Amino acid sequence: MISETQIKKFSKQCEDIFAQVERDVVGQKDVVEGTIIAMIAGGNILLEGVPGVGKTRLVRTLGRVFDLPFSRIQFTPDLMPADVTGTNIIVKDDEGNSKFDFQPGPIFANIVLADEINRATPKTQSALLEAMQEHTVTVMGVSRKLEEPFFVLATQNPIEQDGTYPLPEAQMDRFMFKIIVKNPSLSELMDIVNMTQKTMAEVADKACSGAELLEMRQTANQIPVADDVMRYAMMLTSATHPDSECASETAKKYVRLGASPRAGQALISAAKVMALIKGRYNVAYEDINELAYPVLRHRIKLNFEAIADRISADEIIGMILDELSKKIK
Amino acid sequence: MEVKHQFQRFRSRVQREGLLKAILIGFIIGFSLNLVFATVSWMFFPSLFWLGFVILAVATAVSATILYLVKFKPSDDDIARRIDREFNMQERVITMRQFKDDQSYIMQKQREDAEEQLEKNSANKIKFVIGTAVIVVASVVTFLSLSVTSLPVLATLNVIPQGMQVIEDIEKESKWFEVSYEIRAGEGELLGELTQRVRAGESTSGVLAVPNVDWIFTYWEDGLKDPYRVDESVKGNATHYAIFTETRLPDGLPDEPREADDDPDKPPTNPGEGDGNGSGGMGQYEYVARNQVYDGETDYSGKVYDMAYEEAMEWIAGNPDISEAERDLIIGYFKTIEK
Repeated sequence: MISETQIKKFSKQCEDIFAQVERDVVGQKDVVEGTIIAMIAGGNILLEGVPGVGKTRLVRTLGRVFDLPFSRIQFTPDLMPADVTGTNIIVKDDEGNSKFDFQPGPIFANIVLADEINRATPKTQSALLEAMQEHTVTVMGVSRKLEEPFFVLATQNPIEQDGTYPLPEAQMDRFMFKIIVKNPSLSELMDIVNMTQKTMAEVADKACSGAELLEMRQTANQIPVADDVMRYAMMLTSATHPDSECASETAKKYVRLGASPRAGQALISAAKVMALIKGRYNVAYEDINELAYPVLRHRIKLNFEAIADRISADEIIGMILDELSKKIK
Repeated sequence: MEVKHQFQRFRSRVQREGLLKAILIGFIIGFSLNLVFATVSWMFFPSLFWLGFVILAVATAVSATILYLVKFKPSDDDIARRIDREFNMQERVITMRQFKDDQSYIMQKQREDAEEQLEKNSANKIKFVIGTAVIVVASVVTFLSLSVTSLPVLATLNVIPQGMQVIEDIEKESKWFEVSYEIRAGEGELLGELTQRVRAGESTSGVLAVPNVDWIFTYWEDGLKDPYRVDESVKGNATHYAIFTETRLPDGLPDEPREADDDPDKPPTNPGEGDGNGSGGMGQYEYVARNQVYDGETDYSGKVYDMAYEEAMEWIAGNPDISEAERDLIIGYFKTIEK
């Protein structure tokens, strides 16, 4: 059961987290908010943006703010799964006998930054699948539980596609949010340059511990969701499928494959956090609408017509939301 | 308790809207039935027009009650959704309603939050939403119904005829018959419009039977002896046949026709009923002047024709009121029979 103290603590910690992140990351309010919501809700995040917009800095800052062990894996084509998960090596014990000893890989951290994830081969990318979904790593038939909270924050560059391996749908689906990191505005750019002229050091302090983060997640989980809102979120998920009973006209026209049930789960979990951050004790349609973009954009597979018409996933989500809002009126 | 009270304020407002909708649609049903009854009443029993108002009242009351209970009575959830929508309450009220039995701390906080937001809004700000189509249909049906109800009332007061009477009159007026004129026997010509479409009860335009040389007009098949006929008060389709008889004189009779000594009103002898002096076939009439076509005179040429023509022209001159068509008909006749 949740108490008044927990709710107050949630609000206080949220304020602190945002304040500390802002010390190191200039602007990118939506990106910061989306990332923090996903982390509280317990989801993995895919950050997509051109180089130099602060993706890696944001992830490093979050590691410090949450005071969690942080590891960074630079994905390259020659990276092997064992480089991610760790492997058994032969060591001699005190009596001189050889034995296998497991050397944990960088995945054994609370926050894992998978930098340029699409540069590694699908085999290596898939090494993350189990860790991202079940929070366990299996090496040589032995499953090891990862320490909670566990997040994978991956980045990818949308323009340099040569020598990359686009993430398969199964991998994509395991990211709760795909957040687009845009170029900073002029004033933000000036602030960034001013700040980095003084010092390149990251100054954000700890705002909450891993245990407190898990507590925040539990608090947010208690937020009630009315049947109407729940139905709306599920209708939205279903409306992205061209052949479902709730299929939208937009999906029928532009979508080859819609969002999985994980999208519905992600919408509700994240909407609860968002509502509480906004100081509301229930989930509203507007939370679902706002979260539809980061939750659905990487889960919708566009068809040829959408590509030919240069329609983006975000535009399709906008059209589906319009259709849905007319339906529920 | 306070929340319940707050919600009650909005409930009665939204219920009133539902009631208004039910009454409006009830009126549409009531007035529609009244419209039908008023029409039937005007047709068959105008004096019972008052029964239409009874039907209107009963149908409206019954249908409005049923509609309200079945369709328009808002549930608590409907009211909550409405409040959320009207005041942009971000689903606070619907959540509060659906979790009303949850006594957890977070739900208590949620209820407090919803209550706080509810207090800021007035129930009167909820505008009644009634479809334009409903209002338009209600207005049209009401107008039509009241208009048609006035018909049996006026019929009872003998200001206008009863509906059935009007329909009969219209039917009568809209009936058309075809009257045609043909030659059944002999040689001659029919002048005028030979196939006429005439409205029921009206008259045809005149048709004149003009025999050829050596033929005389005998009668129309229905016994009319006048070669010029106008059928009055036509009541059905009809074809009238003109019958001409040959005027060849029996051997031994003088060339010049003799004066008629028969009674002019004596009906013509039927074809085939000659006196035995004819040449058989159709039979022959006795050659008498009264069988001739113009005013009892007997010939188409010479003195008689000239006299008849002159007389006709004088008559035309002395009757300036006759129509041009009649004048042309007379002149045409003389031209036709002129040798």
